Order: sequence, then C-alpha cells, then structure tokens
Amino acid sequence: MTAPPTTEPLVELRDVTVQYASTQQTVLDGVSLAVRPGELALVTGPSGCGKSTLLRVVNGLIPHSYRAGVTGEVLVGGKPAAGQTIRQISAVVGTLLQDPQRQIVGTTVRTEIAFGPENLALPRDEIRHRIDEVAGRVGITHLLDRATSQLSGGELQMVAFAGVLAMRPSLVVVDEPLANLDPSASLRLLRELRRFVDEGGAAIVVEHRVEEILEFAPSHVLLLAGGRPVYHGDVPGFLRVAPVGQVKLPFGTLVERAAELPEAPDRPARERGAVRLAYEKAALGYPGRTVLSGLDLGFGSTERVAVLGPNGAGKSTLLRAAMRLVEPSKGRVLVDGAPVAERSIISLATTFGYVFQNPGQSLFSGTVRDELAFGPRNLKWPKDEIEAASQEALRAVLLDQEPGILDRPPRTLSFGQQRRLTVALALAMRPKTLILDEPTAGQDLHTTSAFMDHVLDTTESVYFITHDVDLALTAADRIVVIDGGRVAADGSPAEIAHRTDLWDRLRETSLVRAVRAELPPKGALPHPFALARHLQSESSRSEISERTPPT
Amino acid sequence: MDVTPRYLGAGSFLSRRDPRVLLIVPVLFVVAVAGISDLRGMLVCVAVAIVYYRAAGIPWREVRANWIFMLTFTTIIVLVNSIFTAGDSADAHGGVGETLFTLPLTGTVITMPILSYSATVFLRYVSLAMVSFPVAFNVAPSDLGTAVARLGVSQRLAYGVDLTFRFLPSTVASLSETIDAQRTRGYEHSRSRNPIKRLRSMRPVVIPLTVNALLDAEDTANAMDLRGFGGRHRTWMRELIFDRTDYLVLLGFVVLAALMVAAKIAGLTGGVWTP
Repeated sequence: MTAPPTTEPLVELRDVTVQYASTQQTVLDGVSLAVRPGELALVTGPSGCGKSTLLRVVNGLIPHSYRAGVTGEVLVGGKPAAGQTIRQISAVVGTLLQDPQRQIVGTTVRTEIAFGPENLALPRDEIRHRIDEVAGRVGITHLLDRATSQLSGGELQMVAFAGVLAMRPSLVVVDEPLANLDPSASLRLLRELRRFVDEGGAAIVVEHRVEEILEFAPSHVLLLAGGRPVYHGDVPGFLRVAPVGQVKLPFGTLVERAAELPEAPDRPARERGAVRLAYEKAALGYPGRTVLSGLDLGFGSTERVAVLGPNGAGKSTLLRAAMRLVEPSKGRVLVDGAPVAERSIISLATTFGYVFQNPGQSLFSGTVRDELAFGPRNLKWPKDEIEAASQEALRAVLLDQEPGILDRPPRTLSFGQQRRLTVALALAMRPKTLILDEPTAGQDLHTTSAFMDHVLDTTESVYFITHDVDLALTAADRIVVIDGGRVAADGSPAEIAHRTDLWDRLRETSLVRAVRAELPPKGALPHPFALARHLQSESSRSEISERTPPT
Repeated sequence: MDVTPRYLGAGSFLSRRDPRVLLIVPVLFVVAVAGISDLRGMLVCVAVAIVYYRAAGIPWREVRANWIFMLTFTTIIVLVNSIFTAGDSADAHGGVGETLFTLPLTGTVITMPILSYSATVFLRYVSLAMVSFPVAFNVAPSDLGTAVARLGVSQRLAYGVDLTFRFLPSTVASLSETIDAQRTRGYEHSRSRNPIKRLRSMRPVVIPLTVNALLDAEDTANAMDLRGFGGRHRTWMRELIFDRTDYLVLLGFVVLAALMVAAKIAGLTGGVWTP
C-alpha cells in the first residue's frame, strides 16, 4: 500500500446519505470516502448496494440531474459540490460510463475527443493539441479519422477514455469497466487508468468483479451493502471481510475462507444424448462477410454447453443459425437430424427457446400475462394451454411467487426479474433446449449463480454464450471455444482449463490456474466452492502431518 | 443493413466548398423553381442543376439505387397527380388545349398543357433532388453539425443533427436485434391490407425499440452534461470560412432565384407553356 497521503482530497464524501425523490428510498446511508492524487479507490458490493448512486454523487449528477435528497458533505476540488454546476465539477471529475456506446457522441474519433474541450470553449489550436496528446497516450492515433460507428467495443472504450482525458480531469470515475463484453479491452483500459493514477491523477472504480481490479493495486476499498459502508480500508483487510458468495474474489481467498463458503449446488455432469443441433461443413455469416467456416460440430440433446470466445469471434452467429436468424452460406445446419432450412422459425421455437442478452428487446406488452401469451398465441395454442404454459414457465424461473405478477407491466420488474421473465417467455413455448446469449453479463456473482441455478435444469439441454470463463467452467458439461472464425477447442471444462494455448486470447482467471494446478485434465469439475473447501482441508491435513513428528 | 452516412464526393468541386454553401443552395433553388409553371423556364433550372450535380462528383454506381427509388416515387406522384388533378392544375395555370386522348377507367382528359405541366412538375422534383443529393453525400458527417450551428441555429439543435447521424447505425442495429428477438417468439410482420392492423402488428418491435432508445438517450444526455455540454460559449473545432469560389457559387444561385422570381412576377414563367 502507498504511504499515507498528505495532499488535500480531490473528492471527499463525509457521512453522505442519499434518498431519491421518486421512490423515497434511501440508497446511500452514512458513506464517507476521500480520494487524493495518486490514489485508486475501488468501490464494490453486490448489485443494488448503491455503487452507481455513489458515482452520481461524485460527478454531480446527484443532485443536479437526478432529484434526490442529499445529507452530509460532498466536496469536489475542496468546494461543496452542491454549489457547483455539473460543468464546473466536470473540470475536476471525468466520468466513464459502463456502456461506451451511449457515452460517445461524435461521428468520428477526432470529433468525439474534441467534444469536451469544445464545450470548455478552448481555442482550436489547444483542442487539436489535446486530441493528438491523448490519442497518442492511449494508443488510438490510427483511429482518429475512423467513424465511431465502425469501432469495436474495446476500441470504443479507449476512445471514450481519451474523450474524458482530453478535458484534463484530476480524477476519473469508472462505472463497471468489466461489464463490457470484451474483457481484454477492459483490462487495457484499466492499465491506462493505473498509469493515469501513477502520473498524479486519481480514480474511483466501481466494480463487483474484484479479482480483476486487485491486479491494479487499489489504494483502498469501500465495500457497500444495502447502501451502507461495510468496510473501508486496505486490500488485505477487505479480502478478510468481503462477502464470499456475493462479489467475485480471487480463488486463493476462497480457499483461505473456505469455512465461510455457502453450500455449492450439486450439479452432476450429464451425458451428451442424441445430437440436437449439428453443423456439417457449414459456413455462417452475413452478406459479404463470412464469420465462421468449416464448422463440423454437434450439440447433444441433454448436455449443458458453454460457447466461449473473444468478443466478435462469432459465438452468437453460431447459435443464431439454430433459429434460422443466420443462414449457412455453405454446408448444412441440422436440427434433430433434419435440415434447419426445412423448418420455419415459429416451429423451431418449440425446439429452441432463444433468450437474447437484453431483456428490453423482448418486452412490449401491458402485462406479464400478455407478454407470456404472445409466443404460444403465435403457435395457435388454445387459451387453456396458453394459461397452463405461462404458469409453468413462471414457476420454472421462480417468478410465480411475486404478488400479482401476471397483471404487472413487465417493465416495472427489477432488471434481474426481467431477465428471468425473458427466460419464461421462451419456456412458455415449451422448448426442449434453451439458448442463452450472454445470460449474466454485468451481473454480480450472487445474481449470476442464482440465475443459472434457476435456468440450467428447466429444459433437456442448455447452450449458453458467455465471455465469463469462470461461469463456463462452473455451469457447463462441455465448452466450445470459438476464435479466429473457427472452433478453436471443444472439450470438458477440465480439458479446456488444461489447454494452455487458449489462454493468450481468453482471460485466464485464478480458478483456471487452480484447476490446472490441482485437477487432472479429464473428468467433471467440482463447483469452485467445493474445490476451495477440498484444497483448504488438504492444506490443513498437510500442515498437521508436517507438525506431527514421524514415529 | 449499413446506414452509416456515406461521404461519396471526396475531392470534387462541391466537396471542397464550405458545407454551408451546400445547405444554402437547395434553399435558393427551391425559391427559384417554386413558382415556375413554364416548361422552358424549368429546363433552364434543370440545366443549372445538372451542372451543379456534375460538380459533386458522386459516383453513379453508389447512388443508383437512391435515384431509382427517387425517380420511381416521383413518376408515381406525377402520374397520380396528372390522372386526378392535372386538368385543374393546368387550367389554374392558364393552360387550355385540345383533347389528345382520354384515359380509360378514370376518364381523365389529357391535353398538351396537361402533359407540359406534368413534365414541369416532374423536372422540378428531379432538379431539386440533384441539388439536394450533395447535402447527403458531399458534406462530411462530422461537418454537418458545425455547418448548421454556423448558420445561426442553436448549438443544442445543431448538435442534435450530429447525434442523429451518430446514433442512426446503432438504432438500426437495435431494430434488427429486436426483430430477431421477436421472430424467435413467432413474430411476423402483418401482410394485411388494413393499415390499422399493419400498424398494430408492429407493436412488438416498435415499443421495445422506442423504450430502449429513450433509456439510452438518458445515459447519452448525462454523458453530454458530464463533459460540459450546454454552456453559453462553445468552440466548434472545425473552422468554416467562405472563400471567393463559395461566394461566387452562392451569388450564382441568388441570381438564378432572383431572375426566376422576377420572371414569375413579370408573368413570363407563371403560365403553362403549350408547344
């Protein structure tokens, strides 16, 4: 840890409480935080703990844009934030939102970086100088004249960061940088952020995936739960108190705290079964662009398969072909032995329930009842059957216990409930296999585990696309890795963890390293909690045997 | 579907102009052609429009589809207009002539003044398209907001123009994703002839798309506020300066507009010309 800072804090919160006017809900309660130059603060906690609200307090959106009652003191640049406009605060605090797609407003990279300095009414020469400076600094000079609409997610994130740096803030707040679907790009961003801090800046990172952030040596960690501060101090102290089943901690910490781990769900490996979805010498893509080629692959009717791979590798393209959302340009795609081209999308909906990443793309009805009935009605099912299928689907995702759920507008459900509802929408058509596209992106560990526990046993088989390596290892019987326009690997989680050649392109987590070090390259993987407990007891036994003198 | 704004005329005479010229010219041209009912007057304007369009250097193969759509649409409009109201319109503009033939079914009487008037209307639309295409294809998308702002429009409105181009591709991608999400639930676009039924059938796509766009817009508005947007003073990095050629082009169109308005007032181009 760095030496105790002597400079004045750039941002200071003293016993801050926030209550939104619209809900009258207290979302932050008695939170204090001070961040000085040269410090990287990590704010963490499970979903809904108040992390995003804290970020809005720091950058001035609360109370200037969101109507909320704030008590306590918020100082930005040594002055009360309430007496400053967002524009004034933005000269000290730069903000990087979770989704760079929504943050970027310029049509080209150059105009995007210029946006902040233009708003500060700087002279044109100064703006041009800053553009060249920050583009060089974050390594995007080659992108300056590109249209922002043509950039990848990772490139967008770096461009958004350059746009923030061009305003020369003293402190940058970053909202869930790892929620982006390109983990390697997010880590590049964090490296740049660390450099910014090392050169005299300061940063606050809001993130529940603690393991990855710890690599960047945060100066201090603020842990929130239900809006209240649970811990504020150094990293070792945080690792001793962090809720093990709620935020993603390094595997070594799980082993050390094995006694506190919750029971792991017992999920025995399944047999593959008959082939449900097959690709025969298939090439898939879009007009003028082949994404995947030479595919010879089969997915079983009773297995749980994770499709893993870097962003843009073609994971979604692969599984969309099962629903004819993508047609093969070469070869064949077969469903239950028959060419998919002979089936209509509606008839395929009773074989595959396809769940898109964003629940908002499906919800349009006035009530949950109507939303659930939309699919079955398109299948021309009788009213009684629609009613029964809707109830079954709600029960499968544990939404049936919600009071008055059927008459509620779908958009009034929480984000987690909306996600479960979209699974129910697919289940209402009684499919044999669920296909989930990035089912847990941006969700904390607890929400992810609960969601996957609900859905993994609702149908005969589940195929899911993810960039979360640990989720693939934990929830799947088999992992298919897509990279470079082809199937790069196909095997059991243990086999994939032992394939060292894959981990240059994928994010190697502490769990992957532990599996490789402790388990054979074949056979089923235990749940990480069970593995941690096992390793802890092994280590205790070896300690005992070391202490016991040989007879 | 690629809806990224296309900048096609790079290096041409018009692309070297101040983008404000390309925005002002169509306005002056509308003033010039609005009152012309005489085919000969319109042909003069068409000649000017052709020269202007040629100066844009837009490759034909890139805009062939746009022209086919435009010409088809215009032809339909003019034909429908001729069948139902052309007689009245031509009469109103002083064109009376002998019957050439009568259209079956509608019984519309076609005269030489009607044909002349229809040709004038057709050429008016086509020439307007010629002077408007450079706005779409010869102004760099990143210059449009600046150009609008420098014409005196408020910076919020001007930046709105920029944002439209910025978010068009992602909105179309979101539309395609929403349609796919609903197709997996059996959604099919209605082929009914009843427009109300057709409109209602679009709900599963239009509602999620609109709600998501509104939610995204809140984040974007916050992001803009957090980067200091909305202050009284703002620098537009792109510097726009009219050069002598810009002034000459504008002067040419001002003269054209003035001449055509004068000709109309003098009664030279206000009536339908009968050969």
